[in-house]
Amino acid sequence: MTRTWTSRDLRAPWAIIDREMTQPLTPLDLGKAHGAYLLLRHQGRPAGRLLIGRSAFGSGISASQLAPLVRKAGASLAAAYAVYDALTARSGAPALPPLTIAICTRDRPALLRRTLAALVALRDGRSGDATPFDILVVDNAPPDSSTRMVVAGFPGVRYAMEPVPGLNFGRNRALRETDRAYLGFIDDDAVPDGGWLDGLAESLRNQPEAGAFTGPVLPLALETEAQVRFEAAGGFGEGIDWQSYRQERWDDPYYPAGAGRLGTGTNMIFSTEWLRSLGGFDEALDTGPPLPGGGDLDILFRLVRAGVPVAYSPRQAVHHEHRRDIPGLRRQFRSWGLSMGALSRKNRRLDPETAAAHRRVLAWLLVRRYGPMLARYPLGRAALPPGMVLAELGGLVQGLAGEYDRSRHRVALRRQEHGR
Amino acid sequence: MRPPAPWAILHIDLEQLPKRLEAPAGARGVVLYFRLRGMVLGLAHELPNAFPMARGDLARRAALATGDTVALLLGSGLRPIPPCEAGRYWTLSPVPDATSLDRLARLITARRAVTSNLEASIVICTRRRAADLDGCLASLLGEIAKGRDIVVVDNGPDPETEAVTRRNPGVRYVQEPRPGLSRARNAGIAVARGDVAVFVDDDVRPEPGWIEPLLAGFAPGVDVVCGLVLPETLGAEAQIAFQYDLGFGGMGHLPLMFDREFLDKTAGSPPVWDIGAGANMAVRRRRVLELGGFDERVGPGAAGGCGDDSEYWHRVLHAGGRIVYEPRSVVRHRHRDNWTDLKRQAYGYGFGHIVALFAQYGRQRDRRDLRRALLTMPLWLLGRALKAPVRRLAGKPDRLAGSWLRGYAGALAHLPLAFRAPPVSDHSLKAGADDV
Repeated sequence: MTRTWTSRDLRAPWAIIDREMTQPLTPLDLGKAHGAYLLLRHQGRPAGRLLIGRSAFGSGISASQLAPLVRKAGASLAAAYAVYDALTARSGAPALPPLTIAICTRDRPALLRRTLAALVALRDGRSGDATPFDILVVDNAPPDSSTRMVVAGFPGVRYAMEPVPGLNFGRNRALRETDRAYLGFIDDDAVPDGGWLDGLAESLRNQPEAGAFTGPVLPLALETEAQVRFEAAGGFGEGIDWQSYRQERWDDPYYPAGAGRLGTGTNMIFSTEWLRSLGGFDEALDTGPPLPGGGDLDILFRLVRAGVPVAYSPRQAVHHEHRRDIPGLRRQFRSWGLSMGALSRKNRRLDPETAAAHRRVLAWLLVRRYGPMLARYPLGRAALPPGMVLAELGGLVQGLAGEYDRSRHRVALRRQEHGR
Repeated sequence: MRPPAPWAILHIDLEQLPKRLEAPAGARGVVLYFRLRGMVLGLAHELPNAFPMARGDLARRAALATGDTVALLLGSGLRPIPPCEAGRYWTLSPVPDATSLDRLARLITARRAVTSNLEASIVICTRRRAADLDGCLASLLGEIAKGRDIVVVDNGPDPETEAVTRRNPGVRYVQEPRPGLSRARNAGIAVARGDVAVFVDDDVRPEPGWIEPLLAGFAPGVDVVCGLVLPETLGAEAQIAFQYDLGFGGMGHLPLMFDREFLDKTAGSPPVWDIGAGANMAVRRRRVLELGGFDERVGPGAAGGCGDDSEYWHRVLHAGGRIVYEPRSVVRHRHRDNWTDLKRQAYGYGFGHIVALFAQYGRQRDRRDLRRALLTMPLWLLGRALKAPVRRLAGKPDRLAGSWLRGYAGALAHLPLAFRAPPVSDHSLKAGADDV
């Protein structure tokens, strides 16, 4: 594989550029940016991502230099879209189901305002829906009324308060608050892509039996070194892909264990009925430190284990503002390690059939992820400094060392405190 | 791990996607072949849990499996392209859109109308498999109606094969009593009429319209045209292993053109064995005669269970000829359904492959062939042998490793082929055979 960037390019800022593949290729001018993140689209639908560093090409990149890179990054999915369009030409536009979109937030009014503005614009721009989708803000253990004030500024947005701190207490509150057949979640640091809900409607038509609908998490901005490094390291790893996940997968010894390829918390939409029948989200996960993550992976894992498919569509994309500073990024990787470790322990106990897959994933992480990441850094070919890798590894060890059980204990106390 | 047998095979016509696709009852795995006007554009593997599949999800599956092929076929105009350079034909201008599939469908139909006026004989070489032969002849009846010459070369020979052949009036029966597929092929070449001999194995069932693309592939300078071989059923574990472990699953969906350049491109021995399969192959008769026929020291019945075809392809390419792989020509192969036969086949493949490399070196003196036979393959086999106990412990025993090793050992006895001058011309070509 030709590398289209080097470690010298991992500095801020990078430009994020949308390129429509059906339009003729034009040269790329990086200007002052150290690189460009090209989001390749085919008739508006994400078809591939392409990272281009300044040191590899200089500041101006001609169309003929771009063509083979674009082809490699986006041609396969573009061609698949083309065939798909022909095969479904007579099916008509799929309809949006009755839907609530929930944002669980805590004390981040400025970010929330951006997400709400994007959601309201999306809602009001959709003229064909029988019922406009419902927007719900869940305010988790608020220290003041700022979140409530922000919500009051947007007509038709509902507000609910969840006093017990913890993201999954918030998510379960949203589950109690909705009367719609589908319930989606987006984080307060993300905004939906224009085709987000078209992607959902299409997946739902294709797989009416699916219990969850997920998609890629693309970068919203690459303004800091931490954001550039995160994206160069692969970003949210699920990528621009078009999948259907079920109870088992063909020839896949790791499935369904492993790091969140089924989807991510900032971009997941559920069948409300399935969510209720599984008892909602695990409140011992996503509690904030010391176990800040894992609830998204857990619920998707439980869905596929219950025999309910998860549809992952590249059209259902959101744009996420990655951690801005290096300490924040380190916390992110630590949180991933913690979630994987904690879930590995939880599932080996509660779902012993998957124990072997979990063990294989752990072996894979050590041998195929952390090993090469650490080894490549001195060669200048790794996007993440060893500190990040060690943070994730440290989180993994702590997660495996009983963090889930400790978290359950802490959450039980938290519930008691609030009289639940 | 791949699912256990039985698997079902479904051929899906892209122009008539079902509203809901059910999994065939009892299947533990499902292979979907996506076809457009008969041409295979891609395939997908699914577990039964993916069914029933709504049309939209089937469309997604089909689109992901065929998108690249559709783009490449449109870019190349369905003409054979050099292997490994496929990417060059992927055009970004225009980028595929919703009309692409329709344009490709029209192109396939238009290409089908281009027929060749080459005269051809269909040659079936068989040995003591009268029931298989009977099925093969039955599936050829449509072609018979078109008045093509059909020759059965009985390499047994045995009365049952003769009786089966005689039941089909108009099919010629020829005996080649000296065992060996190369000899039988040469006997077929000797009695065939016309420009081209089309070989099909007795255990394949040609699909309707299989022969025309083969004949149309004979552009000037093309000496061999090979077609696609699909599995007929994957109902038994041994059939799945044949398809996926003995290398039959790798046949592609793009028409390819192999020439002299193909020989020079690889660092190792050029993989002529990947070009196609002798089970569905047409050859220009004149060229076979010029090049001295199929090598009778190589192939089933002589030394091992393969190599008669690929050794000839190797010679054709060295002589400056071209070979076309034309996947629009489709036959379905009845894989052996028991492990005894499969092990014999693996043994024969391990054996025949090495012998063919010896014979190639004997003729062309290309060191890469000898290196593969005496270094690359032994190392690969060693690795496989070392891994065998580990795999057994892991509960996934390598049931064919022993057969490969024995096949290799058997082949070593034929090493002198590499250092002996090849025969000038082969016996059966000069003598012909008894046209009974």
